[in-house]
Amino acid sequence: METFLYYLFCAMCLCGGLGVIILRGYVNTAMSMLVSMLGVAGLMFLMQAYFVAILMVSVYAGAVLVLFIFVVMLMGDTTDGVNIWKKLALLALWVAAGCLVGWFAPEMVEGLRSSGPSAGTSVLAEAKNYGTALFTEFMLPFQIVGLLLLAAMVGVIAIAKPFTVRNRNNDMD
Amino acid sequence: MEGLNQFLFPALMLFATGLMGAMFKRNLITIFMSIELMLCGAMLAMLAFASEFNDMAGGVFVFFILTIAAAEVAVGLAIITQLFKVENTVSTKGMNTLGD
Amino acid sequence: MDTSSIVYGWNEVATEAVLAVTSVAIVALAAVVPQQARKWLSVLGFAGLLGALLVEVFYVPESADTLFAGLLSKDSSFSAFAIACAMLSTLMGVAYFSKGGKNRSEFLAVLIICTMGMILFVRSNNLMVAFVAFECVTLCLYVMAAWAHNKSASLEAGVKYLVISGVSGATFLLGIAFVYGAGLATHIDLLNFANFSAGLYSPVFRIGMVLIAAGLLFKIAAVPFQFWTPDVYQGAPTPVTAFFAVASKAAGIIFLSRMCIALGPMGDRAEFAFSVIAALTILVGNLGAVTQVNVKRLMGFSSIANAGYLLVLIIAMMKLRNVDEFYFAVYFYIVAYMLATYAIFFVVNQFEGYDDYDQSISDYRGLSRKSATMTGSLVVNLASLAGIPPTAGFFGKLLILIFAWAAQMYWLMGIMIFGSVVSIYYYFAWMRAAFDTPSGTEKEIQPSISLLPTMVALSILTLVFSGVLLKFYAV
Repeated sequence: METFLYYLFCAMCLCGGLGVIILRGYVNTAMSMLVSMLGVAGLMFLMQAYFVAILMVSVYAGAVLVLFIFVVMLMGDTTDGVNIWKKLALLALWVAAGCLVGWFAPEMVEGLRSSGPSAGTSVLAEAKNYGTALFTEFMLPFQIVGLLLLAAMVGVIAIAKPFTVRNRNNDMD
Repeated sequence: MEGLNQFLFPALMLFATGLMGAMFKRNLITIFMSIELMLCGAMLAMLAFASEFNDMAGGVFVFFILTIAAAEVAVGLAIITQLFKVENTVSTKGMNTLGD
Repeated sequence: MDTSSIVYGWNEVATEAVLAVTSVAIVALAAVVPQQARKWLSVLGFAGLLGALLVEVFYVPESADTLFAGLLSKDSSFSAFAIACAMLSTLMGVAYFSKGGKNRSEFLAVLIICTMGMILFVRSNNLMVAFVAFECVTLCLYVMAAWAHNKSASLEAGVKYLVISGVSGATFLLGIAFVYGAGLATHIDLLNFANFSAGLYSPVFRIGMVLIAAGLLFKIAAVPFQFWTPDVYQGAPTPVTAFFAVASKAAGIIFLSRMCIALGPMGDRAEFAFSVIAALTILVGNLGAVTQVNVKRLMGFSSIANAGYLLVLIIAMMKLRNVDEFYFAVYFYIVAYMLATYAIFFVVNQFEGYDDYDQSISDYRGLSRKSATMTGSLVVNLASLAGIPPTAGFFGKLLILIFAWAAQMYWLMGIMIFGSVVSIYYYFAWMRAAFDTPSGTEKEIQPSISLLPTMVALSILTLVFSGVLLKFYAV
């Protein structure tokens, strides 16, 4: 059963990724990216990292993709205008990349220090571990990310506001 | 495939797919989606190593990457939307304001 | 888990905390302050930067060697440099926004967060903090590059930098994943720099390092990842271009050098690869600038060339392993570079036209008649960038050449000298335009009272900064 699930999620992941670069039209690419994200979330489930998998679905598939779809709807669903030969070339390149990765990946990871499949549940499985780690050891990056989000918010609002003509009397800074 | 490789392969393939999309596509939204695919691939690789070593640091890092990717998407789409409003196109073929 | 055993050490990040509090205060106050009092927010921002600088210089808390359980190092000499760059960019922002620009106070808030991110990036001892700070810096930078969002030039610059930095950030991240996967230590120490020297035997680690180096080379604009530089420098608002050229590059260089120091002796192949990259960078930067007439693109190519010179310094350090002298040389060079580049950008900013993106060398004709201070600053600082004695730029390049000689890198020395000679050509073309007769089609200059005194001060410093060398090398 687990092997079947692995192959299913792997296929979703890879074919979704391929769809992003091959398909025509924005909504098609966004949907195939959604399939890819769900595949990645499934793979994370298989790794026993349940918390991250749920986060992946809710943040990436739920927020990031929705944002993409919003923007795409604002712009109108135009086609890319790429001809068939370029798509075939991309497909061939993709298959070649797959062969390369499949060939070299096992050689790279042999000899790594590995404890093998852990006896109990993985440490990544429980949300409590994330909370503990974030508030004790990884406090500093946590705070930096908070400020990064502040900068992102300020930046988004500053850029997306309409640029009104500067009125001398009303010093709108 | 077994063990570490089984999760490393889709991660690296996702990264390669995203890299190809970012290099060869002409449409800004598709390029941006490819960048997100690359980040996703790197995240999956990180998590694969973390689950192999049964180590928490990888999981927390993935947490941060998710946050950063979401913020980057928000800002990037704001800039792309504004660009569309000003120039009426999101194809990189039409962007020649800068340059000699 | 016993939470009382964790030592946070917030005292050590006092400078960064002051910067963070300032930027949050600016954002919060900008929402409630009436329109007329908005300009005081800029003053608040500047005061915050100054406060952070004072905290940095005078507050020395005692603490253990590594902080936050090993996430940061104590060495924070970059902070003063970064805050100085931010203050100069703020001054430039005053002149830039008075020409027509929106949301000045929010710009300052993002600039301060960017500075804080840069300081943490350079200070980090652990790849996780490094990545988070790196992404913070890049996000703030492309937000600032697209700030003039009614002009397509600025937006295109923002989009270009967005795409390039997205790809390079993902590459950096995959490199970190591989380094993590090399399994050198456990848990949080996995990504600490201290553990790197043990990892050079594992292929996963080496691939990871190559990818990390690729991500960093994007940031410092070295070949073959330099193609974003002229376009983004041209389109971004001038204060942001100056920040890109000086602070972002210096942060990338110093972080790269810290990683190289942590890696230990890397072997001939890595040094050869770096040498090729440095040589190509110098050549591309200098030869590319020869045909440029657009002022900001020319500065972009010049910054590529300067990245090449600094790479030569890093390679020499890797061969000689003299870390203290290396730090002195690199800080001397980047301070000299900062003085010259910022003064030149001050001059660039004082022309009319909200968008400086199409300012070309021919706009400078007749400058010697219109404004003597601007011409003087231009001449002195361009000479510094070209490496003419007795300016600070000359001594900076001399230090690099001395290092290269000691490390027996004669080919690189030759290429560097060739590059400097070529650079004299295009810098002097710019200088000469200031003494030409005006043809009536130039842009008007708008000297700004906030910029002139600082510009003069920077030019004087360029001339006398080399006196620092006397203190260290007096016989």
